[in-house]
Amino acid sequence: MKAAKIVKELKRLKLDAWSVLFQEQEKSTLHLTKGEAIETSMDTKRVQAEITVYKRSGTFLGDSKFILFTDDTATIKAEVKDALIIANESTKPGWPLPKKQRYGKVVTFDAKIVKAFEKGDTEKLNLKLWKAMRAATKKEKGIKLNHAELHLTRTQNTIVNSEGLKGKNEATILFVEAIMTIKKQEFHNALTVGTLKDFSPKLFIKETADSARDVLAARKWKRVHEKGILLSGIALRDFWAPDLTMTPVVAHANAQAKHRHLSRFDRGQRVTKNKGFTLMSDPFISHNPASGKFDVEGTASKKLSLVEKGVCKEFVANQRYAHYLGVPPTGALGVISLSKGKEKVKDLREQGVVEIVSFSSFVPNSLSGDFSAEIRLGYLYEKGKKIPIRGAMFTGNVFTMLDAMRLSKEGMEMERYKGPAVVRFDEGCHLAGF
Amino acid sequence: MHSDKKEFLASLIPLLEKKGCYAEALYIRDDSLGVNRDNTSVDVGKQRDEGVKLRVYDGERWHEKGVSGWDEKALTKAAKVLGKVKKQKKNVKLDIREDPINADYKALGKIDPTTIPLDEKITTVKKLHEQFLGTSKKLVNARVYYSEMRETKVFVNRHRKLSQVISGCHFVLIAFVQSPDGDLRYHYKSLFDHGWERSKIPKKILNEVAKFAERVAQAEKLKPGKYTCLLTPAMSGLLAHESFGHGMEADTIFKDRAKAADYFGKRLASEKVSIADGPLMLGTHGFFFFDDEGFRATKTYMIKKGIVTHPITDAYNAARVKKPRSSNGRCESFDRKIFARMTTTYFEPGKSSKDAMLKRIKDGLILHESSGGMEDPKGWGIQIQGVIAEEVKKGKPTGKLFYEAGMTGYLPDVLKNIKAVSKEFDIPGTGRCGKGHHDWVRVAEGGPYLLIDEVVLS
Repeated sequence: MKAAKIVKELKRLKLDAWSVLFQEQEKSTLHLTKGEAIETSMDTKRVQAEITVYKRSGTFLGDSKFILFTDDTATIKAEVKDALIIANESTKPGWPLPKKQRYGKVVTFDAKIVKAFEKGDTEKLNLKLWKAMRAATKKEKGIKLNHAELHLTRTQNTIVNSEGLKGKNEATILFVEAIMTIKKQEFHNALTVGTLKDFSPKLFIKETADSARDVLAARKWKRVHEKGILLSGIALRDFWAPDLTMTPVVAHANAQAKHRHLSRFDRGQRVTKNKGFTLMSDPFISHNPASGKFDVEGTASKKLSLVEKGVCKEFVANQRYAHYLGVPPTGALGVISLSKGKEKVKDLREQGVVEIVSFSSFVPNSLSGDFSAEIRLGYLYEKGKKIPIRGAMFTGNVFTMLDAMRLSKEGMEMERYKGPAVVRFDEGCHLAGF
Repeated sequence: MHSDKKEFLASLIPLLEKKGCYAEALYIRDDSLGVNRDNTSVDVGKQRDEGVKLRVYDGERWHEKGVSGWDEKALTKAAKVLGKVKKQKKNVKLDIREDPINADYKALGKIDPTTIPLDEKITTVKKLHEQFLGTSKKLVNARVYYSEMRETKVFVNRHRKLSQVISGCHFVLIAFVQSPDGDLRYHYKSLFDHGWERSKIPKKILNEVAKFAERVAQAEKLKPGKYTCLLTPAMSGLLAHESFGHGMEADTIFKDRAKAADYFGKRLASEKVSIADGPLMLGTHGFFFFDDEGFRATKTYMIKKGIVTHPITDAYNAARVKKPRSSNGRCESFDRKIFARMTTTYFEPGKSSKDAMLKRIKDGLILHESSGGMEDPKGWGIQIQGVIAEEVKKGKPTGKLFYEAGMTGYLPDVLKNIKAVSKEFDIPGTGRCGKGHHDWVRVAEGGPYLLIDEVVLS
């Protein structure tokens, strides 16, 4: 399947406008069971083209997307015919398509992973990483590595459209998942990195094993706690950049939501009275899997200040909704970046506070800002001790919590998040366990 | 049906099994159409995923290759590479059924959605939106989303040549509202069937969704505590799926990650309680004829009359845990692994009536629905978030709603506290289930109403 052949056919069909996102994705995965045995090793290749065709009708524009796994001319022709019917049925006020762009610089691939794919050595690479994880596990007494997955991915995207736009991006990802069990408890840990340098099997296993021990030792939380709730580690990343949805702040700083009357934000208006709250989208942090040069339409990614000193400044906007709202198109959302605070972590960790480091799952209601999430692991700071806790439900409203939020001076970076290492909340949330 | 694909894949089996291993091939094509109408625009889109998974089992592990689209040259090349895999001496024997079957199945509903012209589908969605919007002046926005799926699978091994085509018409009605404090909230209803007959949505349903959303706008936060609750089928299904079902997946059990492993043959709940899983229920979102390992649809009792019975299995983990195979070997796509996954999961109906159960609540709640949950197979902790609850006083709902509560607790305590199970039964769940946060497969869940004491909510 060749991108050039598809483009040639689209040009020949004399459409009002079109765009092709051509994607080649190779994956190599290893699934390990009970820490010792390989259950499955898998190599896959996905080559596909996502095509959008546009039909103009005066100032209106209709669009329709479809996916091809072949460059067969007759298939393209038939799919375009269907797409034009759809485009005709779904016209809306028109918007300009992205033209030739200048893309920012960001490194999104690891040459070693690319080389492993080119040489067909990815299974060897996965096994090497696995052996290092196993060796590290042997040093952890009484703990078993009962599940592990290693996924290496290389993706090459090419975007071309009828307006002369052309963009290319190559990205690599290593996803590692491990579940370690100790007696009647377990701890699940997962990491997604863009480069091998950011994955230390030894450190990853040690962190997972330590957390598993703490879960085993953890007290079941059996009361209601309101003031002094801290988030750090994976819990903090999930709070600001959840895996399955958008944090409510980002969901509301979105042009599409605004156009659909589903945003409570207005540009230039205060989001919170907390003037220390600045939230950005940064697509140029090298090797962070959330970084990227352009969005699915080819619009160049930009560094954005969504909220600056508590005031909504910019919206994330694709071409269509940027045009509707009269704001600049911004490209894809990047790494969620929070500006750091002025307080030291040790000052935020006062006696009596609870620090949550891992949720079972954090899926906030992006629209209302409400959430309830079970604590997989947290710590109570009491009488000079750090006591592991688990089992309570953390409930609150993200928007309400912003007002009394305190941010640490020290920072951290994880997949999708860069910002303070610890954030403290004293309003709008509570922990409850029975 | 799909005889060309079957024959071609069958021709690869000898290549794959050249060194004495067991092999199978699975072709998957998922076509979908989405029509989304809200107050601002109508958007229509098509999606497709297509590819072939080739697998060789050497006695110890699976070796797999995935090729996108339908590319016979690339598949032959991949089969030749996999055909070099040698059979291992140490052998964990899989339960591969040897009765030969060459069959084609389809579930396309009363009205196959592909027979309906696209413009009619779009017009239907537009009309529904108009009606929906007309039900309330308090809606900030209203959305009608129509999603049509057509899933084609062809499975071939040395004994079987199977194909199935399953269609689905899925309507989601979402009403957006604003609370007195200016918070944006929503309420939705999801409706599914295999055929276009699902498009006939009575105005009563549109009205109910909008009116319930109006009440959600006024909902308050719940005071944390323990409550006597009546769980609706949506909530009982979620409890069966998230809190119990995940812990009965054979791979989880084999990896010593599931507390359920210590309970096989033991009582976990009263005789009133049975929990089952199976893809046999036509008209549910988890329906199919055979799983991704060519195993024909079965029903598995995970709990029967209070006793923990069978896990749900894929071929590899059934062999590992030495339990019977069930039709639960499923993958998200040709480039994802097959795991033991749930299908349609539910509590079996009981003998009580819903109204009689409600009357037994002096001071408690009806738990209507939630936004989702998370499994905890090792700890059997319950984690269900986004619960919408309604106050009940002296056996009657007061109409007062609570929004975004979280349900927690210890599963055996909750199962032991089930006081009554209704004869009324429904499978309203139409979602997708992930293994952790990945490997999504379509599922359904539901069941009867459950009356449970001491439910922990915050």
